[in-house]
Amino acid sequence: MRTKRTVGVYLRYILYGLLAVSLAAYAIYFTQNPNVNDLNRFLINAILGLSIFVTLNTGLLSLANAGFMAIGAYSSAILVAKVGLPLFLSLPLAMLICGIVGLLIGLPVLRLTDVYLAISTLGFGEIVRVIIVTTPDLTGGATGANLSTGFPFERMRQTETWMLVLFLAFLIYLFYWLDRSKTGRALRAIRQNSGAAATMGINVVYYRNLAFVMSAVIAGAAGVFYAHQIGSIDNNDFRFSKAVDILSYGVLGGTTHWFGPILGAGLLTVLPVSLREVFGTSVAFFTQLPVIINGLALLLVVIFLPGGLFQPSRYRHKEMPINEAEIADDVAVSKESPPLVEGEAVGPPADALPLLELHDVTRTFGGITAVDNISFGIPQGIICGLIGPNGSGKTTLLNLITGIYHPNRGRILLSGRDITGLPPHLIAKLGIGRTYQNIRLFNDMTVLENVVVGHHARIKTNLFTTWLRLPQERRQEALARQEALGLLKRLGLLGFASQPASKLSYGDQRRVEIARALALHPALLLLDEPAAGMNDVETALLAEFILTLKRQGYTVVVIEHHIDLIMQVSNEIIVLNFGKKIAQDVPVEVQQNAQVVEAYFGQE
Amino acid sequence: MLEVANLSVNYGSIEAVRDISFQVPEGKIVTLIGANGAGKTTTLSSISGLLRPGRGKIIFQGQDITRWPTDQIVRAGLAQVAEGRAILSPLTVAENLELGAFVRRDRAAIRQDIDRIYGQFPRLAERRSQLAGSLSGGEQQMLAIGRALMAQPKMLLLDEPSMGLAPIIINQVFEIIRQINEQGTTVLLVEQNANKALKIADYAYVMESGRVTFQGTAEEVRSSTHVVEAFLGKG
Amino acid sequence: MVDASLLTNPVYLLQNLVDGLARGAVYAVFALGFTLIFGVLDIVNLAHASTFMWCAFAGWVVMSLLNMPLIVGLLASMLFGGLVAVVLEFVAFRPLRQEGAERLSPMISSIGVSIIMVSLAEAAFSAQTKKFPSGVLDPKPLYIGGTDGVRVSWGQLLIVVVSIVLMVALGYLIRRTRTGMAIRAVAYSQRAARLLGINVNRVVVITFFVGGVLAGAAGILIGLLTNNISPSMGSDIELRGLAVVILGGLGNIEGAVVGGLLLGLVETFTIAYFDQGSDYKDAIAFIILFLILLIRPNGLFGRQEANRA
Repeated sequence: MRTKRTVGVYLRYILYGLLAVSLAAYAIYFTQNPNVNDLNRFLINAILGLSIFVTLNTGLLSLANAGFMAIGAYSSAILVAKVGLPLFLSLPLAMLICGIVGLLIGLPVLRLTDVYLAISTLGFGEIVRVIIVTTPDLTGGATGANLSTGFPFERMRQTETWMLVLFLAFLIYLFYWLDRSKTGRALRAIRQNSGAAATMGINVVYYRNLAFVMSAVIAGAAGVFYAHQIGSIDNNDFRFSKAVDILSYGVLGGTTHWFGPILGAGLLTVLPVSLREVFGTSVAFFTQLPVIINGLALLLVVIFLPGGLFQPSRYRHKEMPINEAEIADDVAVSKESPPLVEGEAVGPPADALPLLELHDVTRTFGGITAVDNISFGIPQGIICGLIGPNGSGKTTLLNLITGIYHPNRGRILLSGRDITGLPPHLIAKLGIGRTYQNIRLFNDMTVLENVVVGHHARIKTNLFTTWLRLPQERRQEALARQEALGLLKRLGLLGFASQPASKLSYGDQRRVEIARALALHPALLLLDEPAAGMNDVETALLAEFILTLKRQGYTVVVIEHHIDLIMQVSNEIIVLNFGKKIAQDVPVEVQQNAQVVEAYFGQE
Repeated sequence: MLEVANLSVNYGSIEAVRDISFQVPEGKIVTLIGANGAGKTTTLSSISGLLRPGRGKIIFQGQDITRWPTDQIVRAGLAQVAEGRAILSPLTVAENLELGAFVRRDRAAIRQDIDRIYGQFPRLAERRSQLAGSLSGGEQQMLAIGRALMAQPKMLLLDEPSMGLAPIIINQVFEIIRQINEQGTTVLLVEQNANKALKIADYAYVMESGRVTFQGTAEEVRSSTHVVEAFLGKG
Repeated sequence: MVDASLLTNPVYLLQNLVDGLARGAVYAVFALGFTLIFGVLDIVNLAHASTFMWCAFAGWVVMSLLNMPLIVGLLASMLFGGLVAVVLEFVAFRPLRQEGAERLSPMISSIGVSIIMVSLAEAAFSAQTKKFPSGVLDPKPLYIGGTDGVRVSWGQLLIVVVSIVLMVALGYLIRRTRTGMAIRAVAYSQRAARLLGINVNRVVVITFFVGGVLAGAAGILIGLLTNNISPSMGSDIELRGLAVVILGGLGNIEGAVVGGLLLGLVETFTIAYFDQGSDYKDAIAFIILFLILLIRPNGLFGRQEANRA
């Protein structure tokens, strides 16, 4: 492990060194032969790098970008040369076409696990080429889109360096603000832990599609500029090797910050140019050298430098002093507090109806019944302990309530509303927050960001408010931040706000998870072994905090093996054994219940 | 036979096992009891070489096996029946048993041992060509134990053999464990079901929050209030 | 549609059936290696096609430059494939098989190795295509039902025979041997396998070796089919292999065989019965891929437990 990291450090030096040397070589070459082609290629590649960044940063491996680039290039070439539209009009149209195609591909595939996306996008680029070759009347076919197939040179050569610089600057503006918005956080959360993201109310499939379409649209734009750069295009420009080049910009440059892929594109564009100038093109091996270096770099970076070359410490620049006045004063956890959006009810009305009801819920896994015909109701405002021997079905039950699994039989109601079969993100929005037995924080985010992600469903902003910098955006973000800070203060975590979540102690991470779940303003909070890994002092503080939650009107279900904690905080305890409910009673009774004693100790 | 000295294990960012020491003398049944999350499984995983301990030593028959790979530890005669139903569900019962003898080369003796296991567990014999995943929970546990015996271990590590089993089946499983021990195999038994474990064990260690908090003969531990509190609280 | 008289011609139909099966058998052998490695390790090895391409060149070197007979070329190519795949395991996959590595990393590292392999082949053999020496097989085909009947070349016959032998051998290895049981144990749970005393790393190396052997055999067989060996031949078959693997269900060995044969038949019949069919042939794999992903993401024979994200 340590040697791996050391190699990574040297690898970073080597790659930065290569970049510096090739930039210098390129500068010398450029002064001798001022030709903007290579510069334009770099700018186009940087745009392509941003296109792959969107997907990689969402945890998606897509190899479709060469295909989208081809679609953008040919659409624009046809619109400009054959239909006669000006370039600036063909650009949005070509991007729209790519977006639609991206949606059509993404919708079926992005519901599946990540492997399927890689496989299907691998073929996509080839199909685009087959279509281009088989429609010569429209695209020029195998000959390419050039003068001989009706694409006049002067219409095909319109890309100017200033256009590329302008467009890249525009994209950087978009990415800069995206990174700081609800959408950007959701994308990063999905990459780090899609399961936890879903239980924070994030619609994982929607955001994956959004990222894929954004990637397609940007790749299409790069294609438009590419088509009009040298005066002709050819289907061979968009082979699989192009898809690999684009992937390399991201993997090499970095997949955690938008500047990474631009850096990667810079290295991989300038290096071959320099090599070409140094070695010439006479020996076969040297013409292959850039590709070999590219492949080698991919391999080495994935192994020794995961995350890529450019990985700024997100935390350093966020370590801004937290203004005391900024912290929402206890309001975040207080039920009397005004919610983030006026008019939104916090929690259900306190009536006789149980908050959570399970009716005959059964779930089997390959012949083994993990949860067997369980029914119970949990009234509003109580703390309910859920205990049982190892393997008795407690966590499965939580997963059923939060929609991660769906029951084979039975119904689950929240405030009288049937939530059986709803996806996790909708159940989260309806007011069920949870923590995990194996902590599932977003490790690359700060503690504060983790809690802000919990606000996802209640932050009413979208890409337009983000990019147009509407006042609503700033207000909502500030409010979410204030509330999150308030929550951190309540849990005694304020000092960690700007630290990466992964650097905290186990007990502190558990409390961050609770803060994140509370950010949903949940009517019902499910805690799965919140005290595991905590010491006695921490456990006592946790018990105190759970009781505070009850006083503030929260309903809490706690799974715990620290029996003292359960006995101390619970109004009611449900005991499971073999997936069946064997008792539901007040703590004192449960402790004396013969069946419970037997479940734990075996019969005497 | 087995000696664990000052063992500490980190599991992710938590110290799941903190400086524990215990011994398992040859021919005995020693049990490690405690509530879930006390660090029992982590301890077993370190003995089997699935986890790398942070500090401490594990000595088996005079050899320091602390950093040995798992397959070498199994070859040395230390077999583990893992927690839950650690059988290979897509393989048949017979294949599971054959794989139990993976570290052995004596084909004829393996055949004999398989027959012996079938004699001991007639239910497995009936279902020898069924997929292991189709067995009931109790049958799966029998298969897991039978499979571990196929390695001809000198010592057997059992991780919560009672987990998820009905009381009557638990009794059968514990009876089998007792028989195995009588036939000469040393047993380290990790259990949450303290009463059952203490009935067949010679010596017991109580684990709480990654530490050994109490130890003694099975009788001493049984009569101590310490154990009840560790499980059901101070009532 | 083509000439209507062809539609009713039984010899034409049988001829295409034979051609399609031979083609499909090669696809199946290629896809078997893919699906085996995925089934055991959950890794999509995108360097499998480059291994296949290098194996075809290895066979070419042995047969054309060293003048060895076909059987030696085939065995050499299979051995070479196995060794290359084992090197891949050590270089590109084992370093990533540790806690904390991202799920996508092995795929990316295999892409890295793959493009290195293609570049080296282009540097070594130049991009132009090579052919097996004409003497390795009797050029006169067999005719079933007279010279107007169905034509079966010796190459096609050999393809079918070798494919069947390999499939049976693989089935035997996986189902009936100690090593096969160990492979299945590792595929099910690496942890459980280790507790049985199985050296997981060694089993993984064996799995890669077997996958490489299959790639090597496919490399020679496709050479017999098209007699067209070039550095880009890997990318031509890669997509088909992936389509076959998805069609049969990721990690499903029987599925890969049926899927391969199906794709071979569908491609051949498209060329035979549709105008411009050969232009669209390359699109078929992708269309199949998408239809399956839409309708049955776990493949034709996949279990219902869907791999939903």
